[in-house]
Amino acid sequence: MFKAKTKVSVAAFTAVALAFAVGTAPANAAATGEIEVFSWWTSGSEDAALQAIISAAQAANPDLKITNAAVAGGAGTNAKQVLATRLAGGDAPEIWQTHPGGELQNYVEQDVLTDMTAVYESEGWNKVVPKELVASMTFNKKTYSVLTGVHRANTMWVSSAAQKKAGVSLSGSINWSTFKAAALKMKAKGIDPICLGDKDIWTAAQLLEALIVAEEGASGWNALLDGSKSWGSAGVKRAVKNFNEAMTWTNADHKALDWTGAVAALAKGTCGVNVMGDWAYGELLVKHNKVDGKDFTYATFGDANTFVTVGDSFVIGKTAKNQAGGVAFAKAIMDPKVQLAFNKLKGSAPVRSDVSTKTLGKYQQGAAKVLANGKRVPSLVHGQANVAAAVGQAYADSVTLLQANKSVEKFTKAMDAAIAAN
Amino acid sequence: MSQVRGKSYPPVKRKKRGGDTKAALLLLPSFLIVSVFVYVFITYTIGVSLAENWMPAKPSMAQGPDPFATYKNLFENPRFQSDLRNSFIFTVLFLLLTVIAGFFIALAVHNMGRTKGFFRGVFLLPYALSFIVTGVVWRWLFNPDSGVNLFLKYSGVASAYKSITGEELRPEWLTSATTVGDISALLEKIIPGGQYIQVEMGIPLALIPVVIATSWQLLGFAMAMFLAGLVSIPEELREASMMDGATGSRYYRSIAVPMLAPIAITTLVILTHVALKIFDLIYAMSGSGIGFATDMPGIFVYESMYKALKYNTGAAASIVMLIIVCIVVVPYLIHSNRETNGR
Repeated sequence: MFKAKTKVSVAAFTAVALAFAVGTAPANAAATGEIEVFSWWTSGSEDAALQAIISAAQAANPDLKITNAAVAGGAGTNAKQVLATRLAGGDAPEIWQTHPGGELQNYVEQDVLTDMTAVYESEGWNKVVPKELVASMTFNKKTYSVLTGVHRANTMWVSSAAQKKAGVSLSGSINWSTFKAAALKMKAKGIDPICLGDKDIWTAAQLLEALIVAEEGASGWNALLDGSKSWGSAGVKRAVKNFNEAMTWTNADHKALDWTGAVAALAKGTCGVNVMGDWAYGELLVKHNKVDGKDFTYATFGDANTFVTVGDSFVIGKTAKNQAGGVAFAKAIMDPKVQLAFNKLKGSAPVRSDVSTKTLGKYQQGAAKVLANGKRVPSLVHGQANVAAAVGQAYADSVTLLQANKSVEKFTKAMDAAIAAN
Repeated sequence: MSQVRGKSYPPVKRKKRGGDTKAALLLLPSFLIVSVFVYVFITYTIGVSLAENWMPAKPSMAQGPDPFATYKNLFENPRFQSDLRNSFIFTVLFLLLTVIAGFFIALAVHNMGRTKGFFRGVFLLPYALSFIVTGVVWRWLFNPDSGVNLFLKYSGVASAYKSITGEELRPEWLTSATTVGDISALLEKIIPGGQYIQVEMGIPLALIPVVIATSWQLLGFAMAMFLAGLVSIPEELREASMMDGATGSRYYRSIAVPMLAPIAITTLVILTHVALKIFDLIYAMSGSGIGFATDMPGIFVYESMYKALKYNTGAAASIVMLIIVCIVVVPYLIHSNRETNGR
């Protein structure tokens, strides 16, 4: 116990000393020493994308030793567990991955993050990163993280084979009655209209989120999140009813599949559409050898110009030894060339609106355009909203219960209570 | 029964005091380590569960106006109510299936001739697998579009069922949202505070595949325990009973089963604590299930801690789990302690 405390205070002292040193160092001096980059990116494309940042940071700072300390498993939950232990022990890595919004806020409350507001100003990042995204990383007027890229959570992937067989066409903005008509046609042809793999509830929660955003619009969704609008609104009720109906149109084995299983079913054409974050894009192209525009197309429930954001961000540990190294890594992440290289591999859209996206895939170009110019709202399912992580969990739990009891009222009441407790 | 045991295990004489001191010195290091890593941390976890907002890098033990508010919210949470129900039902069904099937398989294997070793291996093998492997495999077996349902279809069972009842035989298994035998209304009447029950207090059908998978894995363990017990029954007892005119089944009912009772109790206690703490198999096989049909307290603790970042809720739920396990294990420990001390 005693030892741990001494270690913390020594680390804190070093951090203060180093922070002072950073402040007085010349602006463009390359960082030296060692840094540790902590993330949950270990699978193929994720790891490759992370390596793109690491090699760029290495090229810009030849004397900096960068250690990739990724922890696999549980969509980041395992990594968070390891990180929580390390933070409790006063052993913070220089750079670690976290979601903007509630999760970031939790770290801010624990006072373990380095304030990056000054870097945002000196590098002009405020001008190129969409303001809603900066807001999701800003607490008490201080900005705490940098985004590597932004995924879109409300994309509806449509199987061309299913469309052809059922004689329907789904593209652009789709309202519920259009979708219902198409779904019934698909059903008549023996196609399950909705591909779903909700062994893990977030996929179903994401479908409902897309439906609520469609009914409520961007401003309505934000009002639901900040508590200025009740979840008992007409729009939410309609969306929940639509969701209940949609659940009768899914593949029968949906509870036994995960999201990749649903994408595989879409690729096969046994089901019609899959509402899934655009990490499914890489899955369709690479794993299933499908061609964008030929084998699959995409549409959006509600306004196609509304982008539900899922950003991946990195923060600098306040008590970590090498603050200058952390800042150098953050600068590498925000480098326009790195943004392009990273997002090409990861399948997301660059967070900087000044990056040319011509070399990205057709879908990604469109997504980047909507991100830069459309309406941006945070995903609650993926913990991007500025509400406590517990609200996200309450939402996931409410969707789990909704699947069994189908009660619109219980769902809306539970969500009002969760937002009120926030 | 006690007479029989008296014969086979003569009471051990108490050792001299000097032996006790030496033993105590030998045990001291592990006692200290266990104290810190088990009991100190249990106490710490209780502290976290009563604290208002404990966080890893800001470990504040400050309590809110009502330190027990976390526990109150926990018991009112429909998810945790489902978890307690599931844990209870899962444990009961799993114990019944595993212990009964394990006993009969042990009997069968015990009476095998030269193939005894082979069959022992066959039934023990699943026990060597990881829970995660079992979970993933059985998820596919109980997928309504593959596995068991294909067997029903191609074996003709499904069509026979249809021709008799006129209904389709296509069990939903893990994807079922049905709960049978709901007694919530009854509980509401007899338990004070019963109106807080927000879930159907019945048997969620989706739990049954999970019970089957877990039993399949641990059947080998129960069998091995009973086999060891059967082997330890002296052959003379069997011969003597036969001389007295007992038939095979009479021998098992009146001699073998009573003599296996201590083994059955040990097996039950070990399997109960496995069932109460089950996490990985269910996490891999079905997750929380529709409407938390297959959720367990262990999954709740994990998600409260590292997804919802509600450390006090997670800590409170783990303390509740600890208390439930203690209710089963402590009486057993006291009982076996008395026995080893010669009563």
